[in-house]
Amino acid sequence: MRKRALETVYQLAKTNNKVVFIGSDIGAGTMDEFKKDFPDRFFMDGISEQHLIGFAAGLAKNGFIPFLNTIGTFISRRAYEQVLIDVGMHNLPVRLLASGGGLVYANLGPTHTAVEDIALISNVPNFRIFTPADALEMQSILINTLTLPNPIYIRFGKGGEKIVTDVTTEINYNVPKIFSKINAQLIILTYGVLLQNCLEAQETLFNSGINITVIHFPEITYPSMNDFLNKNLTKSKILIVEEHYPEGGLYTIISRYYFENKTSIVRIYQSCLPKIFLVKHGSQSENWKYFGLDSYSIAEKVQSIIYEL
Amino acid sequence: MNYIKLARKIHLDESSIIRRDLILNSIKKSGRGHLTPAFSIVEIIQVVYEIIGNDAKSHNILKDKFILSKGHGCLALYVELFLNGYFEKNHLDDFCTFGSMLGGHPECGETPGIEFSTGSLGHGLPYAVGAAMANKINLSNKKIFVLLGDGELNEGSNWESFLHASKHKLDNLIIIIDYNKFQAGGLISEVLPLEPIISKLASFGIEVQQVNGHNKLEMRKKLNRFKPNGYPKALLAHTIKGKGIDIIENNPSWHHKSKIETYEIDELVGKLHS
Repeated sequence: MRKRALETVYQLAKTNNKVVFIGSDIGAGTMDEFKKDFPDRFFMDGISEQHLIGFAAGLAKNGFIPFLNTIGTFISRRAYEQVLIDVGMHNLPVRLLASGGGLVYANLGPTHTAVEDIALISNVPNFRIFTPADALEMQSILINTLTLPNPIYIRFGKGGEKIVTDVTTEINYNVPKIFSKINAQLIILTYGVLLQNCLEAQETLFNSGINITVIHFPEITYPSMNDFLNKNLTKSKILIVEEHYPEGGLYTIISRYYFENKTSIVRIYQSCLPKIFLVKHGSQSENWKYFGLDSYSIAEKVQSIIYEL
Repeated sequence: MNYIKLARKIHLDESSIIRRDLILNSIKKSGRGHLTPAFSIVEIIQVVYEIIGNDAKSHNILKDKFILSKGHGCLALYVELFLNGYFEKNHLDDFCTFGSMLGGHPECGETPGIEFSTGSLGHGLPYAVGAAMANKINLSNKKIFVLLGDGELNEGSNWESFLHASKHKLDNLIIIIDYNKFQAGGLISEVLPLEPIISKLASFGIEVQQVNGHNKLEMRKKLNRFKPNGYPKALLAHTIKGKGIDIIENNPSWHHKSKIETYEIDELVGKLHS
């Protein structure tokens, strides 16, 4: 996903001379083509996130569209005040490309796991937050948001994810995607690469005679969220699946929606990460399994909800 | 040259007195503000605005830009903007009151003429480096002036930015440091010493000039001496915190006050003119 994203930024730079790339210190050879073709718009400028975010704001205020890529925690935590003041408060078109969303870097320990990034960034007014499920969707988001005046935070997956979304257009690139089954007994709401696990769980359950619908949010800050939920949350059992703490993520958004808008009785369940420092190490998929976010655990959770086990 | 002595000795001319008078009168209604951090930078801001020709009419065209990174010194900037026709005097009088467009720190988009919102320290310079880089990419020879406090240099982000400005040879970036030797908690030399500041900046690849920050003629000369030679510039302006009124000069209790009575302000105005 990251590879495709950076390739896309290069393609965008070819047609738009305001596109600028900023990286912190993200690996030798990254963006070599960009560097060669547009040296005056390429900045691989070291491990100095506080500076880099302000630097991006200075470029954006003066007409450029900076795409800044580094590890998500260093954007959302290390340089949070710069994100909030320099970019958010000035409502500048800076694109923050956050590598390693969720548990991608679980092996590196809690300094590198971005499990509260959505909570942090969603509390910065003006920001739009995108959570693509695969490289195709990522590409579509980058292309279709190029001229969006807002600041943007995009959460990257690990890379190599199976393509599960369709090609999207300028009209629907950020619209929640519904993967429905007839007579579904439950709706899963999710985003990012966990969509794949949810779709696998959907198939497993289908084979056992249980129908569920899965809804994926490519944009957590989808502007017509309430209208969409009004129309589509038709079941009385909802399960939120996310690679994030419960506080400040999709679980919070949906719970608040129900509290403020729905009068019908509904049960909201969650498969989020527990609010602890995650020190299990190992791979992302091992951690998914441990924390109940792999397809098997999700299917099991759905069964326990439906059968009220 | 003993710049501190020179900064202390220099007499303020009429335009400097007028600016301080306006600052004092603008805090009457709210009874609050950062007086002494504004008084130390009055002449610096006056000179910068003379150079960049930043009057209200030219605001939207490509031009030199000024960023007040030590945002708490905003009273000096507001007065300069008023004198340059950005807004009417009634806005100065409403400083920091409810609904006023002039807050306790500069806000871009709320107050005409503010390039970048500041307040939390260490944000202005990274932004200024980005703005200077934008001019370089656009092959524009316009300059970016950014004014930092000496206490503000406690913030590590500035030192990241020094590295970057030097790497990119941003000779269109002019960093002015208000070296009044005090921060909110007391003397810089006691809280977090900066010396030897000149050799520190020079070692980062920055061309440094020292100046008496209340001597406008000298500042104009020194700023004109900066040439496009591949080095970012720093003007270390030796100033007196609270310059112009002896009872508040170098007096830490006047760094910020939130309950200043009208009679106190009248007293200060009297001393300013005496």
